[in-house]
Amino acid sequence: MDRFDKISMASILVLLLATITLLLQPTPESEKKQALARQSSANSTAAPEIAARLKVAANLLATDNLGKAEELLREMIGQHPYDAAPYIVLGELEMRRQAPIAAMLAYKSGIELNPDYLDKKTPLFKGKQIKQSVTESIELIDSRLLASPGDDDLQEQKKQAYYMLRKLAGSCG
Amino acid sequence: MYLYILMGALIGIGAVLLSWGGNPANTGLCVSCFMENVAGSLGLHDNIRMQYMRPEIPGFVLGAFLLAKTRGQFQAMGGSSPLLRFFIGIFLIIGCSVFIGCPVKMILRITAGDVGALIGVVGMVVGIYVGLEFIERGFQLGTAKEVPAANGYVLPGIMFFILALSLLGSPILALSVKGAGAQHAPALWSLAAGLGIGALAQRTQFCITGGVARIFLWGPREIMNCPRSTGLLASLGSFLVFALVANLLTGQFTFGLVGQPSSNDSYGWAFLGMALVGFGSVLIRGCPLRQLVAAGQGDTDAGATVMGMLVGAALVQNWNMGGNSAGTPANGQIAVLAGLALMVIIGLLNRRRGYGIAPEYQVGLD
Repeated sequence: MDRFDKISMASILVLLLATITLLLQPTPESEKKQALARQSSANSTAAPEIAARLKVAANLLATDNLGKAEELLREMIGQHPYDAAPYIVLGELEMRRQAPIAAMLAYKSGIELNPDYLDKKTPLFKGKQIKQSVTESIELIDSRLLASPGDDDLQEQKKQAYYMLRKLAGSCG
Repeated sequence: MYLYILMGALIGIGAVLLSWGGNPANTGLCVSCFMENVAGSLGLHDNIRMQYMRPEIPGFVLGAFLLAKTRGQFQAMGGSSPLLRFFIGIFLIIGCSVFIGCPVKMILRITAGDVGALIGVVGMVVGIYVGLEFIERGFQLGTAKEVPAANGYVLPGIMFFILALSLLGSPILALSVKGAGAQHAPALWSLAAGLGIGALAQRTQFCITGGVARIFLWGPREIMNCPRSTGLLASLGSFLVFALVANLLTGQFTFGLVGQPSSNDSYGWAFLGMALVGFGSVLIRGCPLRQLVAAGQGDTDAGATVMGMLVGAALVQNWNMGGNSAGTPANGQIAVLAGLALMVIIGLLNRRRGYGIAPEYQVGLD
């Protein structure tokens, strides 16, 4: 056994220990949510009851009853946390309120549950609205960061905005 | 020399035109992404957004096969640790998927302005360096020997069969109607690019990891005296320049670190993913693209690697190991570390102590 063998064996030990440590970590919540969403989103959006309530929310939005619309949407999100559609309508509502950061975060929840909202090849595509919310969010976050550069919440929001930019840019997977 | 420059130009311009023509952004050509699509179309995973029989993949193999046959260079060879190569093939694709792209796509990402992809270059170079440390200390997988010709036809035959199924619109193959699998250039463009690149890569033995490995192995001065080494570097340089110009001309260049297609901010894992690819590629003498091309010219060991790559592509999707916009999933992190450990174990178990570089690496380090 030469020196190189010893270095190799030490490397194997370190790598295996790191692997085992990672194996013992609990699965991150975000990944669990995605896995659950994959199983549940297929049938929930199409459920007639959800579709009917979304229509009501859309009507409330169209008639400027933003408070009632939000109440209904939040109730739906509580009852169907793995359905993307209420989040997307909530995003539209927040844009109407000129609250782009809240809109972006709502859209984020929606597209994580159902990426079809960013896919031009599906009828659900909302890429332009979502992009607008992200662009306006970044402008707002940057202006707020000038005033308080050390704000952790703003830094986190900026991180989310960059994540959304990557989602909008697309991927091979 | 002009052939090497032409090789780089073809792959650079071809890949950018494919993404301009419909392939996903910055993914004009990507062996790992496309392998995941092919695995999906064959029903090896159930991600409905990743199922398409990308004609580029059989194109690489068949282009190399046709040119090798025409030039009398088709030779069925094998017997150099095929099962080990199969497992290394699995981990090559896992490493690529964690980085979000194979070495070809890494260059495409850089030439499209993705600064973050540079970490992949660093990772790949480190992986190549570590791999070469094993090679220089007597690592070998055994010398390949001539095998009955039928063996060499297996992989080109499989590729021809699935390509034919795809072109005939067979319902056996799954086809995404949304997601990345539904984004593709016209099939004939893809096939033409695949055949052309496969043929020229067979002629020039183009290999991204091989080009870099030669610098480490022979040194910058020595390399200028070796036509093949100089040629491989000329191909890489030409690839970079032509892809950059093509990206600029087609409006696909966006310089920056944030908001790039097929990227995330898990730079540490991207580094390790590409280190795994560099390391593994050196051990089996060639990057994922080179494996496809070598399989086309009758190398059954490379064929075993390609089959491993296909299995790896299915595992990446089934076990959620690939990097995404949010980062690197836990399973991907575990797989990369386990993969690196496996490479070191393979390196350790296949060393002939007291020997230098094995003959097969001296004559054919791709």
